[in-house]
Amino acid sequence: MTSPASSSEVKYLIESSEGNTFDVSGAALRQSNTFNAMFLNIGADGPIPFTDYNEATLKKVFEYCEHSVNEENYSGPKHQDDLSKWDLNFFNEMDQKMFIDVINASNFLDIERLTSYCCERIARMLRGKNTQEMIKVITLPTAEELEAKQKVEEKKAAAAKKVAEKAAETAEKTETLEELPVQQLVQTTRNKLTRKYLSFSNE
Amino acid sequence: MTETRGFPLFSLPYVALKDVVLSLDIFSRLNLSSCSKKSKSIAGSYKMSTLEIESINFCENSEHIVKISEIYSSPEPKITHTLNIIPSNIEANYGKIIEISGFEWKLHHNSPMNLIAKFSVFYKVPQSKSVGFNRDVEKSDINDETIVLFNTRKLGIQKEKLTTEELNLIFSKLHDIQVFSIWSEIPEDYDNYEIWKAKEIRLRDPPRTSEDLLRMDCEKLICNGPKFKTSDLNLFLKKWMQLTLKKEKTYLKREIAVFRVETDSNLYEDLPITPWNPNQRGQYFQGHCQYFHNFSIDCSQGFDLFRDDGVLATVIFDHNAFKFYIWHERFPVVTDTRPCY
Repeated sequence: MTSPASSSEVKYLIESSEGNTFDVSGAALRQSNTFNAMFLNIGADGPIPFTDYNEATLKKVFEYCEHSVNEENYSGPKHQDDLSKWDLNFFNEMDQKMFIDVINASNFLDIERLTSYCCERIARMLRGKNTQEMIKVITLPTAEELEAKQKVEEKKAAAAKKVAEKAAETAEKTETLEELPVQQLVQTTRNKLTRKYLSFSNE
Repeated sequence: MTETRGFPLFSLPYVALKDVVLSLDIFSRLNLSSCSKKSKSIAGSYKMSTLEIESINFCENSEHIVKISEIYSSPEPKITHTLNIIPSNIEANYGKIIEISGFEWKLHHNSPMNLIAKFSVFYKVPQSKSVGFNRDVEKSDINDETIVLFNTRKLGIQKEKLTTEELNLIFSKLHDIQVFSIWSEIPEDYDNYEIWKAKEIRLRDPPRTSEDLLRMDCEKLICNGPKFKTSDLNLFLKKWMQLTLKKEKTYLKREIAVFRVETDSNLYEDLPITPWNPNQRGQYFQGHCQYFHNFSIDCSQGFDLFRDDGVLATVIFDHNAFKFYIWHERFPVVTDTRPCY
């Protein structure tokens, strides 16, 4: 059912990127500010298309929303140590790809509580790490790697320059060679004609 | 989400990335800024806490204890972090932060002063308001790079004994200390007070003689420990009467306070003292204090001394405390009348 009625019993159909649909309660959906802005007052005819996200991701996001329906209103980020066992399990059972998909979906749906917990979790992952460790975690090349990369690029550029120079030289030579037969031809013809003229005049 | 390798932080949506950066503690955010040019710009582009480096203490075992305050308008006006920088020779440990409690941290680094300078640049905070030594002062501590850190700020020394070499090193290198506070024993035979230069000098142990009080180049001098008797201070006043204003001094002497004075004779003996004359000077002396707001001192009960060069001073001796105020402005603007010491 896709109705604007705001009872918690109301179910909405959600459509994922695969074209699959599934039910989400109105109470859970109302945690999404995007949904509130787009559909709450006008309602939706047919499934609500969140087709940028796959079914597994959307189910995971709305699983969180369903769980936190009865929690008090969101009042800023909670310290990770204060998270419930359910919350911790929820985050721990996701792999990195799913986690990133959930952040992106949560960010699009503007579910403040979930986005904030996810971000706090990433911050916790970075906390206490020194620069080298952070570079590894956030997949940035290290200074040494950057230097090595720059050296390789410089070498490549130097090699390319050499090749270009050589090509230019070769082209120049070819040009001269191509010119030679014409000149030779002219010269040969001229010689022949001279010889002919001389023999003719001698006769 | 248990994997921590290869997390594409900078691919996160804007709001999420901002939330992550804002969730980082001040030291992790500094480390993030050092990862790359991009990370530097991201770590520095979101709102930063208003920070102040309260103090840096040079401790035993080459450790540095840095107190950094986060200033808020409400509800809590200030949170102070204590960062213990431990010298380390293991490169892999540089910058590693260990949170001991909510506001207490340990950090390993090979160059604590560089780290503090980096912190100061990233968070756009001025260098530390005060620097303290709980260990020996070494030549390497005061070099061209660190001199800015010591000058124009409060420098305190809190170790058992100071040597003549240490005192000469400090005062030959640093000429712009605002408050110099020594809570250590000064060598008995130390007499190089001419090189002492600071706006305010606070001593636990008074100098060798009462004449040394006049040899230091400062605006305000406070001696807390017992040493002088009233006869010594009578001699001091007589010496002061013979002086004239010296142009070569950096600071104009304004206040001298000596506490725990032993009474052995009449402090004012043979001195041309006069009671307060409202036509000669105001009732309140305008004091300058580096720790509190400016304040005014009621000098109506003090005795005045006029020097031949026209300088007027007031002496107040009360509860074994000797206070000497020199009036370079005879009728100053009165602000706060609370006592300060």
